[in-house]
Amino acid sequence: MSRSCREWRGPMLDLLEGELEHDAAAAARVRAHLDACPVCAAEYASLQRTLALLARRPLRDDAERDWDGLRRRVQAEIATDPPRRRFRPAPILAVTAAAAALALVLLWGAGRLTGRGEQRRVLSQIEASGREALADGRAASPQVMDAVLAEDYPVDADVDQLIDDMSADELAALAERLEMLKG
Amino acid sequence: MNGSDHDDHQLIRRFLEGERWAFDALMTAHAPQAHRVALGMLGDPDQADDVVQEAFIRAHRALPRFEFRSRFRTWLHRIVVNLCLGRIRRARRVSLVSLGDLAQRLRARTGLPARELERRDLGERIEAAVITLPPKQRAVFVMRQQEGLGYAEIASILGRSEGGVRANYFQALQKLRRALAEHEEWDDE
Ligand SMILES: [Zn+2]
Repeated sequence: MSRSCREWRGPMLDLLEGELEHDAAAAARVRAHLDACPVCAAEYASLQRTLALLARRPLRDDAERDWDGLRRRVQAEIATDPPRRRFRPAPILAVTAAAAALALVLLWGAGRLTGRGEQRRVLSQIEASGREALADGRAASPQVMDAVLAEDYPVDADVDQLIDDMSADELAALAERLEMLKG
Repeated sequence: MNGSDHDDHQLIRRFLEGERWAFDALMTAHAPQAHRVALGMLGDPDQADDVVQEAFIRAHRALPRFEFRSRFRTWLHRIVVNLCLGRIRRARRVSLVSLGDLAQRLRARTGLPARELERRDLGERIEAAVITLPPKQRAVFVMRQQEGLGYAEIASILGRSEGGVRANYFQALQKLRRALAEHEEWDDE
Protein backbone atom coordinates (compact mmCIF):
# COMPACT_ATOMS: atom_id res chain seq x y z
CA MET A 1 0.00 0.00 0.00
CA SER A 2 1.53 3.28 -1.05
CA ARG A 3 1.82 6.38 1.07
CA SER A 4 -1.06 8.05 -0.72
CA CYS A 5 -3.24 4.97 -0.33
CA ARG A 6 -2.53 5.09 3.38
CA GLU A 7 -4.20 8.47 3.43
CA TRP A 8 -7.38 6.94 2.07
CA ARG A 9 -7.73 4.63 5.06
CA GLY A 10 -9.63 7.12 7.20
CA PRO A 11 -12.07 8.15 4.46
CA MET A 12 -12.58 4.47 3.55
CA LEU A 13 -13.50 3.72 7.15
CA ASP A 14 -15.86 6.67 7.21
CA LEU A 15 -17.58 5.41 4.10
CA LEU A 16 -17.82 1.87 5.50
CA GLU A 17 -19.22 3.09 8.78
CA GLY A 18 -21.80 5.33 7.13
CA GLU A 19 -20.20 8.50 8.41
CA LEU A 20 -20.29 10.09 4.95
CA GLU A 21 -24.03 9.79 4.51
CA HIS A 22 -24.40 13.54 4.70
CA ASP A 23 -21.27 14.37 2.74
CA ALA A 24 -21.93 13.21 -0.80
CA ALA A 25 -18.84 14.95 -2.18
CA ALA A 26 -16.50 13.20 0.25
CA ALA A 27 -18.19 9.86 -0.41
CA ALA A 28 -17.78 10.41 -4.17
CA ARG A 29 -14.07 11.13 -3.73
CA VAL A 30 -13.55 7.87 -1.86
CA ARG A 31 -15.53 5.91 -4.45
CA ALA A 32 -13.51 7.50 -7.24
CA HIS A 33 -10.28 6.34 -5.60
CA LEU A 34 -11.71 2.85 -5.07
CA ASP A 35 -12.66 2.70 -8.75
CA ALA A 36 -9.16 3.71 -9.76
CA CYS A 37 -7.15 1.74 -7.21
CA PRO A 38 -7.45 -2.04 -7.05
CA VAL A 39 -5.34 -2.20 -3.88
CA CYS A 40 -7.71 0.03 -1.93
CA ALA A 41 -10.74 -1.59 -3.53
CA ALA A 42 -9.62 -4.99 -2.29
CA GLU A 43 -8.84 -3.55 1.11
CA TYR A 44 -12.26 -1.95 1.24
CA ALA A 45 -14.11 -5.14 0.31
CA SER A 46 -12.17 -7.13 2.80
CA LEU A 47 -12.71 -4.66 5.63
CA GLN A 48 -16.38 -4.62 4.80
CA ARG A 49 -16.52 -8.38 5.33
CA THR A 50 -14.55 -8.12 8.55
CA LEU A 51 -16.90 -5.47 9.92
CA ALA A 52 -19.92 -7.55 8.92
CA LEU A 53 -18.46 -10.58 10.69
CA LEU A 54 -17.67 -8.55 13.80
CA ALA A 55 -21.17 -7.08 13.83
CA ARG A 56 -22.57 -10.61 14.00
CA ARG A 57 -20.73 -11.56 17.10
CA PRO A 58 -22.77 -12.12 20.20
CA LEU A 59 -21.62 -10.03 23.15
CA ARG A 60 -21.35 -11.65 26.53
CA ASP A 61 -24.58 -11.23 28.38
CA ASP A 62 -23.91 -9.14 31.44
CA ALA A 63 -27.54 -8.69 32.44
CA GLU A 64 -27.14 -11.23 35.21
CA ARG A 65 -23.99 -9.80 36.68
CA ASP A 66 -24.26 -8.83 40.29
CA TRP A 67 -24.45 -5.05 39.88
CA ASP A 68 -25.97 -4.68 43.34
CA GLY A 69 -22.98 -6.45 44.81
CA LEU A 70 -20.64 -4.20 42.89
CA ARG A 71 -22.43 -1.09 44.12
CA ARG A 72 -22.38 -2.38 47.69
CA ARG A 73 -18.64 -3.05 47.54
CA VAL A 74 -17.98 0.41 46.17
CA GLN A 75 -20.25 2.02 48.78
CA ALA A 76 -18.48 0.11 51.53
CA GLU A 77 -15.11 1.37 50.29
CA ILE A 78 -16.11 4.97 49.85
CA ALA A 79 -17.85 5.12 53.22
CA THR A 80 -14.36 5.28 54.73
CA ASP A 81 -12.81 7.16 51.84
CA PRO A 82 -13.91 10.76 51.59
CA PRO A 83 -13.31 12.52 48.25
CA ARG A 84 -9.74 13.76 48.07
CA ARG A 85 -6.68 13.81 45.90
CA ARG A 86 -4.23 11.03 46.46
CA PHE A 87 -0.68 11.27 45.25
CA ARG A 88 1.16 8.14 44.20
CA PRO A 89 4.78 8.49 43.12
CA ALA A 90 5.80 6.35 40.17
CA PRO A 91 8.12 3.49 41.13
CA ILE A 92 11.78 4.07 40.31
CA LEU A 93 11.89 0.63 38.76
CA ALA A 94 9.77 1.94 35.92
CA VAL A 95 12.58 4.13 34.62
CA THR A 96 15.06 1.30 34.47
CA ALA A 97 12.54 -1.03 32.94
CA ALA A 98 11.71 1.53 30.28
CA ALA A 99 15.35 2.01 29.36
CA ALA A 100 15.88 -1.74 29.22
CA ALA A 101 12.77 -2.13 27.14
CA LEU A 102 13.92 0.41 24.57
CA ALA A 103 17.23 -1.37 24.30
CA LEU A 104 15.47 -4.70 23.92
CA VAL A 105 13.14 -3.51 21.22
CA LEU A 106 16.00 -2.03 19.27
CA LEU A 107 18.27 -5.02 19.80
CA TRP A 108 15.55 -7.27 18.64
CA GLY A 109 15.13 -5.20 15.53
CA ALA A 110 18.82 -5.01 14.79
CA GLY A 111 18.56 -8.67 13.86
CA ARG A 112 22.19 -9.57 13.29
CA LEU A 113 23.71 -9.14 16.73
CA THR A 114 25.62 -12.00 18.25
CA GLY A 115 28.59 -11.11 20.43
CA ARG A 116 28.50 -9.25 23.71
CA GLY A 117 30.77 -6.55 22.33
CA GLU A 118 28.35 -5.91 19.54
CA GLN A 119 25.51 -5.82 22.05
CA ARG A 120 27.30 -3.20 24.13
CA ARG A 121 28.10 -1.14 21.08
CA VAL A 122 24.48 -1.08 20.05
CA LEU A 123 23.37 -0.31 23.57
CA SER A 124 25.58 2.75 23.76
CA GLN A 125 24.43 3.78 20.33
CA ILE A 126 20.88 3.53 21.54
CA GLU A 127 21.63 5.64 24.56
CA ALA A 128 23.12 8.28 22.33
CA SER A 129 20.51 8.32 19.64
CA GLY A 130 17.71 5.94 20.53
CA ARG A 131 14.95 8.33 19.74
CA GLU A 132 16.44 9.39 16.41
CA ALA A 133 17.02 5.79 15.48
CA LEU A 134 13.43 5.03 16.28
CA ALA A 135 12.23 8.03 14.38
CA ASP A 136 14.01 7.29 11.14
CA GLY A 137 13.79 3.54 11.28
CA ARG A 138 17.45 2.56 11.21
CA ALA A 139 17.41 0.38 14.29
CA ALA A 140 14.02 -1.15 14.85
CA SER A 141 12.45 -4.06 13.03
CA PRO A 142 10.15 -3.39 10.09
CA GLN A 143 7.15 -4.56 12.10
CA VAL A 144 7.86 -2.29 15.02
CA MET A 145 8.73 0.63 12.76
CA ASP A 146 5.57 0.17 10.79
CA ALA A 147 3.62 0.26 14.01
CA VAL A 148 5.49 3.34 15.17
CA LEU A 149 4.99 5.24 11.95
CA ALA A 150 1.47 4.18 11.18
CA GLU A 151 0.07 4.67 14.64
CA ASP A 152 0.82 8.34 14.80
CA TYR A 153 3.25 8.15 17.67
CA PRO A 154 4.54 11.45 18.89
CA VAL A 155 8.23 11.88 18.06
CA ASP A 156 9.11 11.40 21.71
CA ALA A 157 7.21 8.13 21.75
CA ASP A 158 7.46 6.64 25.17
CA VAL A 159 9.02 3.22 25.40
CA ASP A 160 6.24 1.99 27.62
CA GLN A 161 3.85 2.92 24.87
CA LEU A 162 5.90 0.97 22.39
CA ILE A 163 5.88 -2.08 24.62
CA ASP A 164 2.20 -1.65 25.37
CA ASP A 165 1.47 -1.68 21.71
CA MET A 166 3.40 -4.83 20.94
CA SER A 167 1.23 -7.84 20.26
CA ALA A 168 1.69 -11.23 21.88
CA ASP A 169 3.41 -12.44 18.72
CA GLU A 170 5.85 -9.55 18.74
CA LEU A 171 6.62 -10.21 22.39
CA ALA A 172 7.23 -13.85 21.57
CA ALA A 173 9.62 -12.90 18.79
CA LEU A 174 11.38 -10.54 21.17
CA ALA A 175 11.71 -13.31 23.74
CA GLU A 176 13.21 -15.61 21.14
CA ARG A 177 15.66 -12.97 20.01
CA LEU A 178 16.79 -12.47 23.59
CA GLU A 179 17.38 -16.14 24.11
CA MET A 180 19.63 -16.11 21.06
CA LEU A 181 21.51 -13.11 22.40
CA LYS A 182 22.06 -14.81 25.72
CA GLY A 183 23.27 -18.00 24.09
CA MET B 1 -24.45 16.95 25.26
CA ASN B 2 -27.58 14.84 25.09
CA GLY B 3 -30.25 14.19 27.67
CA SER B 4 -28.48 11.47 29.57
CA ASP B 5 -25.35 13.62 29.87
CA HIS B 6 -27.53 16.36 31.29
CA ASP B 7 -28.96 13.82 33.75
CA ASP B 8 -25.44 12.74 34.69
CA HIS B 9 -24.44 16.32 35.40
CA GLN B 10 -27.56 16.76 37.54
CA LEU B 11 -26.66 13.62 39.48
CA ILE B 12 -23.11 14.86 40.02
CA ARG B 13 -24.45 18.17 41.35
CA ARG B 14 -26.77 16.34 43.74
CA PHE B 15 -23.90 14.14 44.87
CA LEU B 16 -21.71 17.17 45.47
CA GLU B 17 -24.53 18.65 47.54
CA GLY B 18 -24.23 15.64 49.80
CA GLU B 19 -26.88 13.29 48.45
CA ARG B 20 -25.27 9.88 48.47
CA TRP B 21 -27.95 8.14 46.42
CA ALA B 22 -26.89 10.21 43.43
CA PHE B 23 -23.56 8.44 43.20
CA ASP B 24 -25.38 5.13 43.35
CA ALA B 25 -27.50 6.26 40.43
CA LEU B 26 -24.37 7.12 38.44
CA MET B 27 -23.05 3.63 39.10
CA THR B 28 -26.30 2.03 38.03
CA ALA B 29 -26.26 4.01 34.80
CA HIS B 30 -22.64 3.44 33.86
CA ALA B 31 -21.38 0.21 35.44
CA PRO B 32 -22.57 -2.12 32.64
CA GLN B 33 -20.83 -0.22 29.84
CA ALA B 34 -17.70 0.33 31.94
CA HIS B 35 -17.69 -3.41 32.60
CA ARG B 36 -18.06 -4.29 28.92
CA VAL B 37 -15.12 -2.05 28.01
CA ALA B 38 -12.94 -3.51 30.78
CA LEU B 39 -13.97 -7.03 29.80
CA GLY B 40 -13.15 -6.35 26.17
CA MET B 41 -9.72 -5.12 27.14
CA LEU B 42 -8.88 -7.71 29.80
CA GLY B 43 -10.87 -10.72 28.66
CA ASP B 44 -11.70 -11.72 32.20
CA PRO B 45 -15.01 -10.88 33.92
CA ASP B 46 -13.61 -10.90 37.44
CA GLN B 47 -10.72 -8.62 36.54
CA ALA B 48 -13.23 -6.39 34.79
CA ASP B 49 -15.24 -6.33 38.03
CA ASP B 50 -12.17 -5.24 39.96
CA VAL B 51 -11.42 -2.50 37.48
CA VAL B 52 -14.96 -1.13 37.51
CA GLN B 53 -15.02 -1.18 41.29
CA GLU B 54 -11.69 0.64 41.46
CA ALA B 55 -12.78 3.10 38.78
CA PHE B 56 -15.86 4.12 40.74
CA ILE B 57 -13.86 4.47 43.95
CA ARG B 58 -11.48 6.79 42.11
CA ALA B 59 -14.35 8.61 40.48
CA HIS B 60 -15.87 9.17 43.91
CA ARG B 61 -12.62 10.69 45.14
CA ALA B 62 -12.17 12.88 42.10
CA LEU B 63 -15.73 14.04 41.45
CA PRO B 64 -15.28 17.26 43.43
CA ARG B 65 -12.87 18.26 40.68
CA PHE B 66 -15.15 17.17 37.84
CA GLU B 67 -15.37 19.81 35.14
CA PHE B 68 -18.83 20.08 33.78
CA ARG B 69 -17.53 20.79 30.31
CA SER B 70 -17.05 17.08 29.61
CA ARG B 71 -19.35 14.10 29.71
CA PHE B 72 -19.28 11.90 32.78
CA ARG B 73 -19.03 8.85 30.53
CA THR B 74 -15.88 10.17 28.83
CA TRP B 75 -14.34 10.97 32.18
CA LEU B 76 -15.22 7.57 33.68
CA HIS B 77 -14.00 5.68 30.63
CA ARG B 78 -10.68 7.46 30.86
CA ILE B 79 -10.29 6.05 34.37
CA VAL B 80 -11.43 2.57 33.31
CA VAL B 81 -9.18 2.40 30.24
CA ASN B 82 -6.17 3.69 32.17
CA LEU B 83 -6.74 1.12 34.91
CA CYS B 84 -6.91 -1.61 32.26
CA LEU B 85 -3.76 -0.37 30.51
CA GLY B 86 -2.05 -0.20 33.90
CA ARG B 87 -2.92 -3.83 34.63
CA ILE B 88 -1.68 -4.96 31.24
CA ARG B 89 1.47 -2.90 31.61
CA ARG B 90 2.23 -4.23 35.08
CA ALA B 91 1.76 -7.77 33.88
CA ARG B 92 4.29 -7.08 31.12
CA ARG B 93 6.68 -5.03 33.21
CA VAL B 94 7.30 -8.02 35.45
CA SER B 95 8.77 -9.56 32.33
CA LEU B 96 11.14 -6.68 31.78
CA VAL B 97 12.91 -6.59 35.10
CA SER B 98 15.97 -8.58 34.12
CA LEU B 99 17.45 -9.67 30.86
CA GLY B 100 18.02 -13.15 32.24
CA ASP B 101 14.41 -13.82 33.15
CA LEU B 102 12.85 -11.97 30.31
CA ALA B 103 12.80 -14.55 27.56
CA GLN B 104 11.41 -17.25 29.80
CA ARG B 105 8.73 -15.05 31.29
CA LEU B 106 7.65 -13.67 27.96
CA ARG B 107 7.43 -17.18 26.63
CA ALA B 108 5.10 -18.16 29.45
CA ARG B 109 2.75 -15.39 28.37
CA THR B 110 2.66 -16.28 24.71
CA GLY B 111 1.25 -19.06 22.62
CA LEU B 112 -2.07 -18.83 24.37
CA PRO B 113 -3.90 -16.56 21.94
CA ALA B 114 -3.30 -18.77 18.92
CA ARG B 115 -4.60 -21.80 20.74
CA GLU B 116 -7.57 -19.90 22.01
CA LEU B 117 -8.53 -19.15 18.44
CA GLU B 118 -9.42 -22.81 18.09
CA ARG B 119 -12.51 -22.20 20.15
CA ARG B 120 -15.45 -22.71 17.95
CA ASP B 121 -17.97 -20.13 18.93
CA LEU B 122 -17.77 -16.94 16.85
CA GLY B 123 -18.06 -14.62 19.84
CA GLU B 124 -15.35 -16.44 21.73
CA ARG B 125 -13.09 -16.57 18.69
CA ILE B 126 -13.42 -12.86 18.15
CA GLU B 127 -12.89 -12.20 21.84
CA ALA B 128 -9.72 -14.27 21.75
CA ALA B 129 -8.50 -12.42 18.65
CA VAL B 130 -9.23 -9.07 20.27
CA ILE B 131 -7.07 -10.03 23.25
CA THR B 132 -4.09 -10.49 20.91
CA LEU B 133 -4.32 -6.85 19.78
CA PRO B 134 -1.84 -4.41 21.29
CA PRO B 135 -3.55 -2.91 24.36
CA LYS B 136 -4.30 0.55 23.03
CA GLN B 137 -5.61 -0.79 19.73
CA ARG B 138 -7.71 -3.11 21.86
CA ALA B 139 -9.11 -0.13 23.75
CA VAL B 140 -9.93 1.68 20.51
CA PHE B 141 -11.53 -1.38 18.99
CA VAL B 142 -13.71 -2.15 22.01
CA MET B 143 -14.92 1.42 22.38
CA ARG B 144 -15.54 1.91 18.66
CA GLN B 145 -16.80 -1.39 17.29
CA GLN B 146 -18.36 -2.83 20.41
CA GLU B 147 -19.63 0.28 22.18
CA GLY B 148 -20.11 2.58 19.21
CA LEU B 149 -18.35 5.60 20.72
CA GLY B 150 -17.35 8.41 18.35
CA TYR B 151 -13.73 8.99 17.34
CA ALA B 152 -13.68 12.36 19.10
CA GLU B 153 -14.76 10.86 22.42
CA ILE B 154 -12.31 7.95 22.14
CA ALA B 155 -9.54 10.41 21.31
CA SER B 156 -10.43 12.39 24.40
CA ILE B 157 -10.48 9.25 26.56
CA LEU B 158 -7.09 8.07 25.31
CA GLY B 159 -5.42 11.45 25.00
CA ARG B 160 -4.65 10.83 21.34
CA SER B 161 -5.56 12.63 18.16
CA GLU B 162 -8.68 11.63 16.29
CA GLY B 163 -6.52 10.71 13.30
CA GLY B 164 -4.38 8.50 15.50
CA VAL B 165 -7.45 6.75 16.91
CA ARG B 166 -8.81 6.16 13.44
CA ALA B 167 -5.47 4.73 12.30
CA ASN B 168 -5.48 2.48 15.39
CA TYR B 169 -8.96 1.26 14.57
CA PHE B 170 -8.02 0.56 10.97
CA GLN B 171 -5.00 -1.45 12.08
CA ALA B 172 -7.03 -3.34 14.65
CA LEU B 173 -9.50 -4.33 11.94
CA GLN B 174 -6.68 -5.45 9.66
CA LYS B 175 -5.17 -7.59 12.40
CA LEU B 176 -8.52 -9.09 13.33
CA ARG B 177 -9.18 -9.87 9.70
CA ARG B 178 -5.91 -11.80 9.53
CA ALA B 179 -6.51 -13.51 12.86
CA LEU B 180 -10.02 -14.57 11.94
CA ALA B 181 -9.45 -15.41 8.28
CA GLU B 182 -7.67 -18.64 9.17
CA HIS B 183 -10.62 -19.80 11.19
CA GLU B 184 -13.58 -18.52 9.32
CA GLU B 185 -15.09 -19.88 6.15
CA TRP B 186 -16.32 -16.75 4.43
CA ASP B 187 -19.38 -18.52 3.21
CA ASP B 188 -22.05 -16.32 4.63
CA GLU B 189 -22.56 -13.76 1.92
ZN1 LIG C 1 -5.33 3.28 -3.18
